[in-house]
Amino acid sequence: MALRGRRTHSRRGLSTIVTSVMLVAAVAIMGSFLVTWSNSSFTAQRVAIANQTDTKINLIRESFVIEDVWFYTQGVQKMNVTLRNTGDVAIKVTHIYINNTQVWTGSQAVNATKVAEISFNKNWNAGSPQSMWVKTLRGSEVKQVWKS
Amino acid sequence: MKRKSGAQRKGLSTVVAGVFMIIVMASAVGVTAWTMQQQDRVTDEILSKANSKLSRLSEELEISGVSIANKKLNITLTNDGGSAARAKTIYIVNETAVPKQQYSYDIDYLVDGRAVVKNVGQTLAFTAKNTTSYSVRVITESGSSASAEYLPVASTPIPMTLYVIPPTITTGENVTILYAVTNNVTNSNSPLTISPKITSSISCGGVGCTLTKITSAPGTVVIHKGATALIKEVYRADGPPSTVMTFNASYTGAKAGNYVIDKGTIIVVTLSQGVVTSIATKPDMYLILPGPFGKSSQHGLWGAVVVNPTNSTMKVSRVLMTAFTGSHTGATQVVQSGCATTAIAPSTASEWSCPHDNQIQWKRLGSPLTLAAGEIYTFLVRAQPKGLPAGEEEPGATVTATVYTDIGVFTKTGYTVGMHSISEPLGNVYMTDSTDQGTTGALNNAKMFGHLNNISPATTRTFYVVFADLDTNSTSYVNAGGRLIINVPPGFANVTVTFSSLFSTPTVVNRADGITQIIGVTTGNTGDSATGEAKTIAFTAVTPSPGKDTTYLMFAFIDGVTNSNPAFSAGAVAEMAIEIDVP
Repeated sequence: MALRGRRTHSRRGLSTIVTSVMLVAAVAIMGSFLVTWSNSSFTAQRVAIANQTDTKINLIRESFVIEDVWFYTQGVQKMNVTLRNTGDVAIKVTHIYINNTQVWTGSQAVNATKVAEISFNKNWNAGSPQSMWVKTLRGSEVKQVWKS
Repeated sequence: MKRKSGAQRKGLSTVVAGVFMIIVMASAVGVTAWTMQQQDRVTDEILSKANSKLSRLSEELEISGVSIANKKLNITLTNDGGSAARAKTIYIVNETAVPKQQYSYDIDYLVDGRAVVKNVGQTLAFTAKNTTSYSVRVITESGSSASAEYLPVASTPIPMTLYVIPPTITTGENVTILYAVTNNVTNSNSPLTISPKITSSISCGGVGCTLTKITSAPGTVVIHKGATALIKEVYRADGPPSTVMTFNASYTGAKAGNYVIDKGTIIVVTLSQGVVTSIATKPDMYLILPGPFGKSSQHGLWGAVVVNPTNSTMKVSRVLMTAFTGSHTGATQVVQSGCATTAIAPSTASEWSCPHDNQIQWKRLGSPLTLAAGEIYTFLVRAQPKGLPAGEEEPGATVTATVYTDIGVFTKTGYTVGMHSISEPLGNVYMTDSTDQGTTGALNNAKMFGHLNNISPATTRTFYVVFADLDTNSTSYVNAGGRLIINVPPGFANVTVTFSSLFSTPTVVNRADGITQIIGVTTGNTGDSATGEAKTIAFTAVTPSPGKDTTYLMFAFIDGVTNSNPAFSAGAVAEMAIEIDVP
């Protein structure tokens, strides 16, 4: 009885061990996958958030003014727009609109604290108000009215 | 034992899972915290930007002055704010050029809060002219700007006023000139710097006629924006009554036409200047009378110079000239009732008459003669003298003149006319218009005048005064040595005799009362010609500038002796009116 009892107990213990091992292995595999996936996801999210934050911060740090607009004639009527970067990051001016009409597009870099001039052809009437609208690559914009 | 061993196996997977969960949760918490840090960065940047904008608002840079020194712009920057401003660029626009020209220069001036930086622009490679308008704009590093204009005084009319205090003085008194200039140039904050220029002139000339500056205006005056400067000069004026002092004030380099003029007058002090009468004005009347009014069949010249002193028309319907003698003899007749007359002005013969003895009359009751405001008219007639009883002489029959107008009847007396019972010349004084002394000139009735209308002020004008014997009796005349004396009224300057062929060189004397007296002495008898005789003195004078229409009276008379036996006085008089018509 004692032997029979021992033999029976021995068969039952093997299956339990195997089962336990399998369960632990499954849990380990799933846990490893979860940790790996979450790390990857979190890393990607951090990169995205970092980029987004940097973009926002740079946009906030952008600052510039339309320092001067000179209306002149050199064969044709022209305008010369002088921009001063009053912020502490470089900017890239990409669009100029006058009276809601795009008159210039390009990529004029202006380093921090520096000045840049942009000239283009544009008909103007002496004494008329000209609504100037300047946009940068990051999306900053300045709107001023000048009298031609 | 079994129970214990079985519990350990069952808990292992849970522990493993728990470890993984803890790892995942820790990562999630880390990411969340990092994300919040990123938000904090954005917030910090926003705060930093806001502070930067506030700092920029605290810059209150302005251009408090623009001038030109050493051919360079001399700009004064003032920062009224609390934050320092760094001026980085200056833009200069030549506003006078066509088209306008713009120049920009990099500068670097740190203007601390509530501080001033001067002489900005003196080192720029830009040459400025003080005859050109410039607009100047300064940009700071933070993008704020200040602008101002330089306006040369030659391009901007500046309001100014001149006061002569008091406007009327007596000779020898001081007159104060206050020249007020206001800097109201609205588009410039710069003070105005001017060099006052005050000139003066006086309408009289000769000895005793001076305008002496006692106190001078300062050489330069700085007038801040919106302020008015009072610039003072003091003069002492000496001159005859009615002398006009003219002051003209401006400043060096002023815009053409930017000046101001005011005038003062030297007046006579009278005992009473406050007499109030029932009428505001009444006609002035002056006479032209012969002397002697020789006993002749020919006609001597009588005249009444009537001045309309009002600002409206005046109608004259009758003029009377009546002589009163001291003789009680009825045969004493200066003129006889119904005497023969020669009408000169008005020229209608029927309007002139001698209604009774010793009276000459002009009458037009139906359609009176109309005199415009300020106009002068001389009623001139030549009348035949009658005579006195034998052996009598009347050296001073009193003459009274009366004028009937629509503003009243006025009489003037105090004149005399002389007659003799024997033949005497017809001595007369009057004005003419040329040096023609013959029958086509001074002896021509149409060339005899008692007044001049519409004479321009401050112009050189020639005047002709005649000493005549109007009869053709060559045996009665005024002896050589007779004098024609002309009193040119005060205010007429630079009196110069230009013609006096029948006189010895006339003398010109400036009297203390402002009158210029011309005295001509005849070199031969006057009237010993069978055609009558006229002797003319012509002279030029600069007419006065009275400031308003004014009538001046030129008084001339004869001082001589006739060749009769016994001799008789020649004393013809003429009061001739001259109207200075101020445009």
